[in-house]
Amino acid sequence: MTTALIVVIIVVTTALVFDFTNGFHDSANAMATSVATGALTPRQAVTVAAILNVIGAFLSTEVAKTISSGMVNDALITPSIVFAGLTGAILWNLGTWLFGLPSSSSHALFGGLIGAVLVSAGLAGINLSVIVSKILLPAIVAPVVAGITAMAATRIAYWITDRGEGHGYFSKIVFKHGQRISASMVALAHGTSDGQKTMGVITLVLVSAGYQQSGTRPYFWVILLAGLAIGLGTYSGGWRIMRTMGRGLVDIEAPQGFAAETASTAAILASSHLGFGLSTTHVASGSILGSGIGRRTEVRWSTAGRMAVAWLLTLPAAGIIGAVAALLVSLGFGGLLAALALLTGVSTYFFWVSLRHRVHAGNVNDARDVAVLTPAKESVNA
Amino acid sequence: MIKINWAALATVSVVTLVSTVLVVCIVSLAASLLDRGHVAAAAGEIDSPYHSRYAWASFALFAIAFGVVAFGLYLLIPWWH
Repeated sequence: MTTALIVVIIVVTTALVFDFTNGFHDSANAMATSVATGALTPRQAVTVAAILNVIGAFLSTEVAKTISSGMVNDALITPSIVFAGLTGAILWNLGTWLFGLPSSSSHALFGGLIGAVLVSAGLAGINLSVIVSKILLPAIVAPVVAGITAMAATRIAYWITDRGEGHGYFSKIVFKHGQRISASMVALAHGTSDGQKTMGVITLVLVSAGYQQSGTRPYFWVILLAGLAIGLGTYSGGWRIMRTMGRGLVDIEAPQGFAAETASTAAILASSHLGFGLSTTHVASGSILGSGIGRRTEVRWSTAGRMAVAWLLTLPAAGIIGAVAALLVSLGFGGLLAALALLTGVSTYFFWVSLRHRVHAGNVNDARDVAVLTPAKESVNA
Repeated sequence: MIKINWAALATVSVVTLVSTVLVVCIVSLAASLLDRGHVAAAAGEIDSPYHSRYAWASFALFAIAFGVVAFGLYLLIPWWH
């Protein structure tokens, strides 16, 4: 087995690990409100989301063909640079998961790649115009549009149903079923968009290493593995983020959850169809916040503020980690192994810290906050 | 020179707002009609909330909402268009 093949195997495996983190980091986007209102049990929610994520990954490979979307010069990308970028994305995803902060996995991936390319090829390797128009601007617009829409829809839903005379007997049933459908649509859309990103990364690695011709579709085994990785990640739950989105921002009722998920679905579908990429995380968080304002319930702005800071930091933080990893891999095969050891070590540390205050399917709705640094005996999660 | 596609941004915003409000209005109206049927049945005005003008009107509204969802699926799945 040649060194080049070993590098490709390491990078493909790392890409699948990123896909797994993408799944558990984003499962809350679709299912947090359904779990919070009891429309679905936590296990039902992640099972449905996982299946729809896998199905979604098989529905299209268009995004996979243009993974970097012009943000970095694809011609400069080597398997080692992709590995460095993935390192930045995985560590940022795990760090934000530890603190229960929903942040965009796609932005983490792009940030990691941009950082790695900056170190390897300098400023000429990145396209600032695309970064502003496809990452920074949508990051501001997505939550605002989704939030205003969810706020208006929630207000209308309560206005119409509160005027009825049935004391909401059927309304409760209808909105719970509606929530299940709209949440499923978000999960399917997520699988279609995010599942393809890892396919694109793996295809890019195979092309750059000479194992696949440029411009060809991803191999079936790549589609299958990427679909399964994001599905397994989704099934594992990402309960820390699910708690923040379902309970940490606002208290959610079924009509509110339905309005929020419908707004998320509409925003994601409209943006994907018109070729304007919005982060599923930003859309879903904005919708939930907007639905809380629409119902005039208490909005926990401190949690929203921490989320906003995480969004602002995603690109530079993943970029810095990606840049450090790129410096290491530039030392050769030994550097790549050192970066791999760093990735494994820090990931294990994050996981170990998370065990002090475990959040799982059984206690996801028991508290609003995700404890990290407080001593275990003071935990409110148990 | 930074190029921003403001037209796409505006279209996404308007489509998101209009389609969400439309679907939520339809489903809320349907739910409200079912509730009215429930009250009417409890008051003895109709035999069953499931076989009344309220139920038929709400089922028609649900059919429209499912049509919108089906259109969303059509947009989502590239093989269909």
